[in-house]
Amino acid sequence: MAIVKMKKVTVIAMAEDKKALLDDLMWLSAVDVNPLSEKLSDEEWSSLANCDDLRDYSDGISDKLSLLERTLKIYRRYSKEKRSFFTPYPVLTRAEFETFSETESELLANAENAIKANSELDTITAEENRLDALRQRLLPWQRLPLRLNDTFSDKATYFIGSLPLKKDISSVTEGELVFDETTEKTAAWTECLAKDKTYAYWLVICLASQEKHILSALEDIGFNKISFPDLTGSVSENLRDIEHKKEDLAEKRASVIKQLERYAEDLTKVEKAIDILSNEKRLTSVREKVLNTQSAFMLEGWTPVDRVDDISALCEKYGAYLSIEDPTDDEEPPIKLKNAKIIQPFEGVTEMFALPTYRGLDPNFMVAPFYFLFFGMMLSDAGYGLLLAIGGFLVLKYTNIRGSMRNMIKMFAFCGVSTVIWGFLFGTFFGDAVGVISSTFFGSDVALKPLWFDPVSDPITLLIVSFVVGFIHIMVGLGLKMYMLIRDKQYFAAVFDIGSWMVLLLGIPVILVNAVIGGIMVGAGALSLILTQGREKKDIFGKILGGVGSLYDITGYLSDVLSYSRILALGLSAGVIGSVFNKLGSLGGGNFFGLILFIVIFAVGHVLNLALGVLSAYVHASRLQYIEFFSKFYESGGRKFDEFGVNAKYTEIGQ
Amino acid sequence: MNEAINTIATTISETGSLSFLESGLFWGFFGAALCALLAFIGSARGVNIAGEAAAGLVTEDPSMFGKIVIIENLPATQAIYGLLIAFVACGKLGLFSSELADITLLQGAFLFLACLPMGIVGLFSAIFQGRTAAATISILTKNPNETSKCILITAMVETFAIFALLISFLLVNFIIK
Repeated sequence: MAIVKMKKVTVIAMAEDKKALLDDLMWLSAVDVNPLSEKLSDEEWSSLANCDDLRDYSDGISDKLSLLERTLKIYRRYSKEKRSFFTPYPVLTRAEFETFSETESELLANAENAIKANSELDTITAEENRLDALRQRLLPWQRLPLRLNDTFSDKATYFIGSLPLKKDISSVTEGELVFDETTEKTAAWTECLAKDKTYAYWLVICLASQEKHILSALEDIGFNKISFPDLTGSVSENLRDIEHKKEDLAEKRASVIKQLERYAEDLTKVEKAIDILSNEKRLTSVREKVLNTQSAFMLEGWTPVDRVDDISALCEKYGAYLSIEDPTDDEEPPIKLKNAKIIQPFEGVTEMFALPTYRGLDPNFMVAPFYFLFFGMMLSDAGYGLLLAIGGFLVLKYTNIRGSMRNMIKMFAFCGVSTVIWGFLFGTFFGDAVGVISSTFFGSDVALKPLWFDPVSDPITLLIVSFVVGFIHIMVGLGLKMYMLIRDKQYFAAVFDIGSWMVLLLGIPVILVNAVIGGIMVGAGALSLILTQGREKKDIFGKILGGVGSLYDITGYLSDVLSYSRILALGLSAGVIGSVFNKLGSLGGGNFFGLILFIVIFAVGHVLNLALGVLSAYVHASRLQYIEFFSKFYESGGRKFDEFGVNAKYTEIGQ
Repeated sequence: MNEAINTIATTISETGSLSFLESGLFWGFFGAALCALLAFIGSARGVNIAGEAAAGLVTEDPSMFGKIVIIENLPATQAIYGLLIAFVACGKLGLFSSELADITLLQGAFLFLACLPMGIVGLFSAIFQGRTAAATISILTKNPNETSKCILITAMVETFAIFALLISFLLVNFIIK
């Protein structure tokens, strides 16, 4: 339970050892390296040393990474190995890092080919779509007796087109057609070849010299000329040709897919390559952080106390100079938290707010139990708790989820246990499901009896319990502040700023038991506040005013305690809404259809209520920590310890 | 249960007066209905405001949908609280038992008042929460990993709906034992 103590390490070693030493350092995962480049603004330093500028190299790695990430998506689609939450990560060893450069170029070449093959698939799809569209356009013309784009005689020509069915076609009928009586020779021969729901498809044969004239007359009544400029031969020949082309394309597609499937056998290799290159990139960024002279280099960083031995062993190996210093008062080392296994999952709650300062206090040992308690009281349903706990532990056991997500699931699983406990204390199991099921379907009056009390019929008891729990929470917060002040040797502030309030506040509940003792405590607390809180002020009136004024803070404490009533409200809402769904489900009665109705409403309703309840409990249990608890003592603002080590996204690192 | 409603109906039709206003049951059910009504409207508007902002972000980055949908739905809780109070009130009025409860006009009027905090606060807090949700969604456009913080900021508004729920529940619970 604590913030890990840090040491500042400075390593100076020979330039020729740089690559190997940094590589070893990365595998140690023990140092947060400081960028020394800022020292170069000082002329004394810049005349002695310089920093590497590896931007080009680093950009090169980024390009490779983005290529591989794109390839990975393609490989995942075509690989026979499937990746899901349940597949364990492939193991990546240090030996593979060292031999990677041998296979790198081949892997990258394959990746580029795979991307090319994948875009070929897109071309094939586009071509298939084009052919399909053409086929659709050709289909109405199957009965066309002529070849497309063919001049079949010197004098006559033909054209084809569609005419809306609804158009009055009295002037355009099958057979001979006369357009205008005044121009007597304007004549054409027409035939309707096909009809669909909206169009009729016409063939028009006419004298070449009159084509324009006839066409414009036809267009006036809605005729739309259709042409296939790129096609020759008969329509049925063309249709057959399209079929052949589509068959060829399908074959080509199959072969490209087969090719992609062969490339995709590299899936694991690509995943490993991405992790190897990302670490190379990280290593490069560290190389930019060290200072170089011609024959040596210098590295500076923070390391946890328990890892100092590893660093000195490393330095011994390379014959490097090592200095280990404690942080000076104006330095802010990065923050690494270390807590017992049962507390550790709750670190996420604090981390989301902000990390503590290095000289502050890690509050997790107190956040964890209260979070556990509040969450359970707010959700307070044994059924939901069981789902959460069992579901959570199953997810942890059978999936490969890791990192902060894993921690969060672990926290919910723990909180599920608390929910079960409070559920039984309050007698809820999926709302009042036990009672409703037994009365609706079995006609008995068996119900789950609360082990303690039923908050729906006795909400005031739970309200009081909430206030008591909240009061304790706030007192613990004040206690932690007092501890911090004593630790920092500010005894006066510890006793009078915090101690007076604690005596005063503790006196209030004591009044209920023993008015005299309680009254004395409240009076003593208030008096010491009045006497001490104005001590910063110069004149006597200021002192008195400051002292009396500080009593006004009591409203803050009051509203803090009242805020804990949300525990009651959320606990009630989870329980009552669950019961609402049970009641709605039971309205169908005890028959077969009633059972079906009950099962459907029960399942949907409780899933909904569980989701809502978990979200509310998560949010409001956090809020009680941040606003009511942390405001009493917490000093936040630390920087997270960003260790220079081997990271993995798609693999598991093995030694 | 139908008998009681019939009695009220006959009284109204026979006397032709607004004597149903003197029925405790009328005021009780009026309160329950109003509570549900206001809270539902509030939530609908709140989710609507958040949803418009959410849609904007999802257009840019569809992968954010899963995170966004949680924030969008935060103002929906007021509707649930409204439902809860309406339901408890209906239960007190005997809607789910074999016959309606026998309550006085005064009890009915108090029940009506008891439903008001949840209804009115539900209406406004859901709309305000919707606006907050929309604002936090714009945080997400810049920092996609800050979902939890956005949820917390938005949930702060809900505190007051929770207090309203608490007061309404306590009042409803104490008016009719």
